[in-house]
Amino acid sequence: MNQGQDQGVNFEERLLAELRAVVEERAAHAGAGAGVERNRRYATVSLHSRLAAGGGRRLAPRLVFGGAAVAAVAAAVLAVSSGTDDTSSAFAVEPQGDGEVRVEISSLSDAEGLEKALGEAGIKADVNYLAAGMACREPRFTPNSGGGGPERSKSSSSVRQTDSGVVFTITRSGIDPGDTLLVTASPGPEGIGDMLSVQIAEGAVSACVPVAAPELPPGAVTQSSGPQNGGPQKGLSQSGG
Amino acid sequence: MKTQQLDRIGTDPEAFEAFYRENVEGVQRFVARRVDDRERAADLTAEIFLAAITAAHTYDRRLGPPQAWLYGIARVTVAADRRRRGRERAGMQRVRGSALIGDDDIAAMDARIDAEARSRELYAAMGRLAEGERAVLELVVLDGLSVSEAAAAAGVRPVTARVRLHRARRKLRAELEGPSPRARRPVNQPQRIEEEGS
Repeated sequence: MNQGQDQGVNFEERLLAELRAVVEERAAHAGAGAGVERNRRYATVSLHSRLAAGGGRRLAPRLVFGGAAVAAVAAAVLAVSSGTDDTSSAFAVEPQGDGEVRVEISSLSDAEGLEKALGEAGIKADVNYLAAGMACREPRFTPNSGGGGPERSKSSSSVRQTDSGVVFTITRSGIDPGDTLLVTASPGPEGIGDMLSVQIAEGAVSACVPVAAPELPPGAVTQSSGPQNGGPQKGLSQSGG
Repeated sequence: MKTQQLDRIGTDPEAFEAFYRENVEGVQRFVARRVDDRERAADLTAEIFLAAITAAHTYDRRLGPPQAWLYGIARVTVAADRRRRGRERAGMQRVRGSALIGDDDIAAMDARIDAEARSRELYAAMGRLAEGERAVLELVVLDGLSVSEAAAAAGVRPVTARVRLHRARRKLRAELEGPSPRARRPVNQPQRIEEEGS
């Protein structure tokens, strides 16, 4: 059926060889920012999904992080249940025993409730759920100008998608008393996937002023790349969606 | 596989190989319970492991055992593939499983697929359930996970999984029975859809 395959080696072994090659390749690039080390900058990942006939399911998340040093708390498309038939809450904030706080968002409602729950878990937060296609005007805070070296990454967070929404974990010790967790989300265009961005802001944060969100092609990664006073976020790069 | 090793499978070939050997048969069976096409099954098997490699750093041991995590990935991968069927495969996959099938593999792959025919019927019958309900039902009924493992795989709390499972079973029973003049009547439905441990 296929030429060039070793005699006596079966599918499972051939697949293993291919996959090992992938892992080896990744190992070679390890440390180049493939993870989601937290810093005081953020990346926003647009994970537009297609709308299924019955209503708004999404594809598996494809988190794409660009750049090395700046990777941080990420964002993902949230599969929002338009949610009538589900009695579960719009969010869950669950302090873990080890100083981490697990946050699950399953629908874009009750921003105040989430903010309050985070506050009770010891995390000052500012949660904004906006209308479709809107985002908060940036910048809302002045990024840390210290270069954000890796040694500052005492908190890590990854955003992952689950069947019920989006889950991320915040390490409390990584958020200083003056820091604010910013959670901003809005339904995507035509309901095809919603943007959720999670940032940790250092210092004063201005209130969210809703503006039209910049157009993000599927798979796009925006990434703030350092202190910028008053300027727009730079560094839009595209990854193959 | 030890859970603390799981987060290394994305960058440690040895850890990956151990993980792969432990799970490749289970993943192939998982796929065969849903897919009857040999080539597609091979592609999906590759995709599932690729997704696991990419997502390994997101594994959270508090949420459940590695296998539940892997089945969660597998389920999402197969479901995404089902939605995009009939269209071009999205993008170029780094590893194409179907290209790795040799003549000697066909018998074993087909046998695996044949053995799971009944499971695929059930899987098809679940098509109209809401996604969240479907997820839990699939993992429990088709894949034999416990409710708490299925909850971990689907990324929901066990209590949520229990509620969804209950609903899904009720809906699936109604679905399998077809339109009935009476909205509810006591049913003794097939073995595999009966309530269990909830």
